[in-house]
Amino acid sequence: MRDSLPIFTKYPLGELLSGTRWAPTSDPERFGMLPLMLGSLYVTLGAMVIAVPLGLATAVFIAEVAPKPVQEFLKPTVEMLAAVPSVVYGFLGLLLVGPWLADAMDLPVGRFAGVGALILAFMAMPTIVSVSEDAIRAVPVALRENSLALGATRWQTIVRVVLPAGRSGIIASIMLGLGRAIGETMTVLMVTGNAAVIPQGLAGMLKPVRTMTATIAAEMGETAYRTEHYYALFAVGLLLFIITFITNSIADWAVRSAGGMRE
Amino acid sequence: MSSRDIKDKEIAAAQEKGITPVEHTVAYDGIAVIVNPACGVESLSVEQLSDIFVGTIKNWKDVGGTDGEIVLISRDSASGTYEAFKELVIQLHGKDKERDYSAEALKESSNQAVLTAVAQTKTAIGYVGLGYLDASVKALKVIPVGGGDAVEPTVDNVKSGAYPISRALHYYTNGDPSGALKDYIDFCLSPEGQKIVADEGFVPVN
Repeated sequence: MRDSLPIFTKYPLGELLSGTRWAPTSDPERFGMLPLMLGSLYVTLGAMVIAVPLGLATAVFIAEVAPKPVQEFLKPTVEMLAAVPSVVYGFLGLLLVGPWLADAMDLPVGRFAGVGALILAFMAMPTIVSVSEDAIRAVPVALRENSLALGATRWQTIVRVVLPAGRSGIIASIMLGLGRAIGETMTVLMVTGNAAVIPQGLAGMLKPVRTMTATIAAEMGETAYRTEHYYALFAVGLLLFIITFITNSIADWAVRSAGGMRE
Repeated sequence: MSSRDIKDKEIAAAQEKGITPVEHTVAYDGIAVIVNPACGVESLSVEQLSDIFVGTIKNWKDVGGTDGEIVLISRDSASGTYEAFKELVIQLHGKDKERDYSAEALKESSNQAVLTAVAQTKTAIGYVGLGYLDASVKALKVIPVGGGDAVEPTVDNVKSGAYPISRALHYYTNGDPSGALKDYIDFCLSPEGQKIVADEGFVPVN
């Protein structure tokens, strides 16, 4: 925290946040964090677009639909996904998923935001599945029985009764998954290409990006102690902390408000 | 150990803390410019390489290759090779300090990662230390600044100075070395030490 402050005295906050070029070793140095923030945003939101529907569907299936033996097989399998080290995911992305996607979509290079988003989606999914599954199970059986007794089909019961009742837990699971995705470092460092450019529109998903986490990991090791570059990296870290703090606070608030709502 | 020369700014910062950096050059290294064998180019001049990495030349057909958007693969900015390549190639041996890498260049964290990326990508161009070259990529011949014959990146050509993209590898010590440190540096510079340098694919100093 203290190590990030000197950069703010030299460059105004607005300039750091809106600067479009991150070139810490150029002469003059530029510390525009906008490409890094947008890079993180693209990869994380991309991951969420894939992970949320898939994760929720899996949670509903495990909690409401699947017969007991299938449940007992699926739950640990999904949770196993969370135990795989991120460098392994990165390696898979680097050697298999990236080149394969580039081939399939006729892209010049297999390292872009979309690969990172896809891999991160699989890393965030276990969190989303297990937390929202618990939330769905916590919905009182009486609610389901009442709904079914009123003539609602099973699908109507799940969509109109169970999911809204478990809403807070589900939101919390999404926020936790989001926190996992935005903070992930090794995987994105390996698969997103790390070019600090501003992604443009949807096509930006198919271009290389550089995230905040990857920047810190790639550059901190060789940055001279107490230089502007060093302070700037701490400032990126501070920004990342603020962002994850906000997402976690929202998750926390959602979990807390769950208690009161179910009565 | 450093694969680029110390910067004036860094010497000043060290001296402020009472450290006197002393440079010991233990080996030379050529930086090979590598491309995917599919690009159809055999040699490029330093000026062309500079334009490619700055981003003004964007297609292989502009330098006599097959049509295709050039994908730049660079080391990340923490790397000494990144700085050395910037000075030797992009800034044309330090002549034009304004020139810098295109922001669109992909950044890889190791020589091996650059090799993998170039081998996987048909239209890629990257650079690695001479000691890392392997058969999965093609090393370009390079025409020195101002023109001349295209020179292949080999140990002999780096030693003779004919290959234009080469640099010294240094140790830095605080003051003149003494005791075990001195023994170690003497060993590196001894015939035995220099043989290890050559075996690893780098270029001996003498």
